[in-house]
Amino acid sequence: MRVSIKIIIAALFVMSAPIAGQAQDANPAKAETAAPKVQVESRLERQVRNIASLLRCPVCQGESVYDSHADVAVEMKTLIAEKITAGETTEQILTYFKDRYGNYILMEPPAEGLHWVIWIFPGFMALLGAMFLVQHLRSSAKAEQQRFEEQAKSKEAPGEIEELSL
Amino acid sequence: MAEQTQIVIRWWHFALIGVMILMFVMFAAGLGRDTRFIPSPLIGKPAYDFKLKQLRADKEISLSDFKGTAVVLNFWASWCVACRDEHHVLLESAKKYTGKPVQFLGVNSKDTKKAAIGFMEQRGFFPYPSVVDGQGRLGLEYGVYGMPETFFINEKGIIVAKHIGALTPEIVEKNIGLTGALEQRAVSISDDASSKKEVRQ
Repeated sequence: MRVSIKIIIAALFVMSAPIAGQAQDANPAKAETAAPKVQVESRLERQVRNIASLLRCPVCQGESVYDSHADVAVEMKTLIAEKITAGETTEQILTYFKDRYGNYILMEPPAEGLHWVIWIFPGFMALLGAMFLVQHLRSSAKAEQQRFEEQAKSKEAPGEIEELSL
Repeated sequence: MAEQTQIVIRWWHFALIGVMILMFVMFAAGLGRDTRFIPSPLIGKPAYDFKLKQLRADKEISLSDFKGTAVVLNFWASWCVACRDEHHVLLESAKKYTGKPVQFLGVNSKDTKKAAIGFMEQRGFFPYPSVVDGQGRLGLEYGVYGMPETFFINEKGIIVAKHIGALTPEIVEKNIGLTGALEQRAVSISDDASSKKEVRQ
């Protein structure tokens, strides 16, 4: 019974595929004319999104320029688009904003100077925690083994020892 | 063997306590800081030169028109609440520094002409020109976060100070002092006064 239901579902999927394909190709002429324009726009938009996501909206709380709809963020996105069109690289555009707003404008602080602390700190803490954990487990395992050995050596009944080892 | 383990554990304890103290100090330093005063990387750098239309005249103004004079560049807008608070300070300060080598210049940013004029009609017209920065593009050049923001530019065109938020007479005085404009010789005053007149016409 289960198998037959699976077969029916699979068959439905297979049958629906050509229908979906037909629906997409319903108006091929329109799709062809619209396609190039959409492609050009989306490429620029993608580039703007990539850069705007790296920048912090100056008037928002922890929001990127891309996510923000504030006036200043909208103007920044327009400027980014203009700069991309003018052939500027991502690095050049980020430097432009960094030179005017400082490192604060970057969503991720650069790994330089005192900022290294921020970058190293989580890794350092994880390492410290791992070392502490290993140390703790080792010592507790050792203590457990010692206790077990002591118990084994004691004059207790063999049945009890078997129980412990289980 | 057991003693050695004991010593190692103690060492980690000390390391963790040390790290916790470091974190506490960093948080205390970070939280104790006034977030409004983000240091501007533009301090000590040449002010961006612009040529923009005046709010109340068709003539354009460039920052370089005021070379040889200290410039107080104030970004404002009619919709900005703190701009209302500092309005009287700007009116009084501009009056106070008349005849001195200090030029006040407004930048009406992301505003409409009608609203900006209405704002001044209600609160008093600035005795100095304002340029129009409709889309806030000049604001981006100056790394403006929000309004009002005021830049103090020395006679060489170098930004010596930036103030975020409403001005007070003390802040204006202190920052104009930083431009060194008042220590200049009287020779330049006559030149500056004539250039000021030209702009106001």
